[in-house]
Amino acid sequence: MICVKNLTKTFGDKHAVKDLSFDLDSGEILGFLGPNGAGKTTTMRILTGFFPPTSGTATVNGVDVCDDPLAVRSMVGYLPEHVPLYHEMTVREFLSFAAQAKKVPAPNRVAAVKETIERCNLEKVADQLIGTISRGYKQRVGLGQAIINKPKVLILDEPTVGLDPTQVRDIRALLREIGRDATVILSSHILSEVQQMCSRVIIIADGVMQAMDTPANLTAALQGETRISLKIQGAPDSEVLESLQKLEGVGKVERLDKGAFRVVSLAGEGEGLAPKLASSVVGAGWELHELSAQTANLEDIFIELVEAEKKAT
Amino acid sequence: MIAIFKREISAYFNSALAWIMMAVFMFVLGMVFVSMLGYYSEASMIAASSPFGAQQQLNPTDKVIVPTFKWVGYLMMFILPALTMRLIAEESRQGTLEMLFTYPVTDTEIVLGKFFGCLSVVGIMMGLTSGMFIALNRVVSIEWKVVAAGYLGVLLLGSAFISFGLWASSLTSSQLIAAAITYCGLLSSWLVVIVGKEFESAKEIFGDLSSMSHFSEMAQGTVSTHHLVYYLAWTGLFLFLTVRTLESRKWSA
Repeated sequence: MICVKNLTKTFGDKHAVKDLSFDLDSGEILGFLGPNGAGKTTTMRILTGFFPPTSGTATVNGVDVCDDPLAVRSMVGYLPEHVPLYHEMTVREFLSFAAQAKKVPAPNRVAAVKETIERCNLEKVADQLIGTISRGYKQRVGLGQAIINKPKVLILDEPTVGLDPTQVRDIRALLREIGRDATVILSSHILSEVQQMCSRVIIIADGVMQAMDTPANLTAALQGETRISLKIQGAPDSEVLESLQKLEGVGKVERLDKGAFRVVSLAGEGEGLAPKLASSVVGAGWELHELSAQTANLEDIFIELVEAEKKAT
Repeated sequence: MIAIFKREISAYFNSALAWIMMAVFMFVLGMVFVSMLGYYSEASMIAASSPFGAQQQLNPTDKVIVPTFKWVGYLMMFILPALTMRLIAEESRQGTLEMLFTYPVTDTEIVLGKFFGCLSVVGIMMGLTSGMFIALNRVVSIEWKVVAAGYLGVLLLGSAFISFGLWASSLTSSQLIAAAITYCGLLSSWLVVIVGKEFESAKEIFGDLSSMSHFSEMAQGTVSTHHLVYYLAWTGLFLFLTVRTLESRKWSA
């Protein structure tokens, strides 16, 4: 459905996106993950036909965004980051404006507006001015304008940012439902969201793709590796550091603060490390104040990849 | 384009702006009309009591309608920047422009939709003024051809001014700056005549450059191709520049 090849976009001498390539089948939900300014919005804007890439190609359903941006735009629904809406219009007026601007044929327009209001659960505010409705409703109106002409591709820039937890849950449920008959690309810097919703994840930093895989595979890459943080008192830090390092199954020990350490296990030896650490600390006669183990999640991978990129440059 | 045109008109009438501008316009023009009428009736009274009265040219079209239309021109210069300033600047401030750019509409459609939306508001405003002429016509007969030329002049002048305001509005996301640019531009397009007065030899050239001198000739009932060409070329140029400005904003977004 979407095919991106060696996509590069520069503003002046600054690279916003560099040599990005990926393919997306219809029905997939792709998550774009990256810190602010990583090039997520730029990539999305290229895919909506907003502006052409500097080099490389992007096609949506076989249509190149440079050759026929209007055809691409009519296949793509886009929700920009800050959900721009006309505040002086009512929800219904705005949706019928969107339907007409997106060339929904006149006889179907009323029905399309009605259906969108139902799908996005907007019945209660349908005749209120957009300026007076809550943030959560505005987000849904934004989604509504994006899906009103039933686009094949839906591109959402930070769809849940600034919402309260209930609203986030509602929006996610709505997205999942929409995802059944459209290809969805969403960007986020909330990792759990991407982990829950997406069938594939692209991690991007400084315009360069760091990783692309399913959320399960990405986390599996780091699985079997356990991180344990410890707070130990009763001995000089250097001595603790040295003796922890010697333990079997320990890969790396870091001193985080005075008396605080982080132990990373060797791959595959994470299990059973925590009790081993505890008994050795107690055995040495030190005080063990805290011990907690975490398995790696997408967040760690994300931070690792982004940090690695920063060090390399 | 129709969708954008319709939204523009509803935006005008959903905000106080269009109503206030129309009220100011009708109030000032009404005062002008009444005072012109006053002069005219006084003059005809004097003429009627003088033995040479019949020889004086006392024509209500010249004495009332032409000056009223000239005032329409001046008022346009002050009212239109207030109407055009929000057209694109406001959308770019709110971010709705970004959304429009991802709709299956071309930049030209966006620009034309907004242009005709604003022009229609001017049209509605001018429609209201027709009441004055109809009322006058019940008392004395007036030359409708001159009135028609005046309306055509307002339409052309309005188009030119709106296209300039639209372009100014596309340059910035601040309505205030857009309005300021438009006022400066329109005033200089008028006052270029003053510069002409300094150079006796080039007086005509400067007169032809002035947006108001073309209009006042039309208000007097002269419709000639060079007026049409002047305003249409102006409108075309600035609509074209607006489309280009929108395009370039996307590249640097």
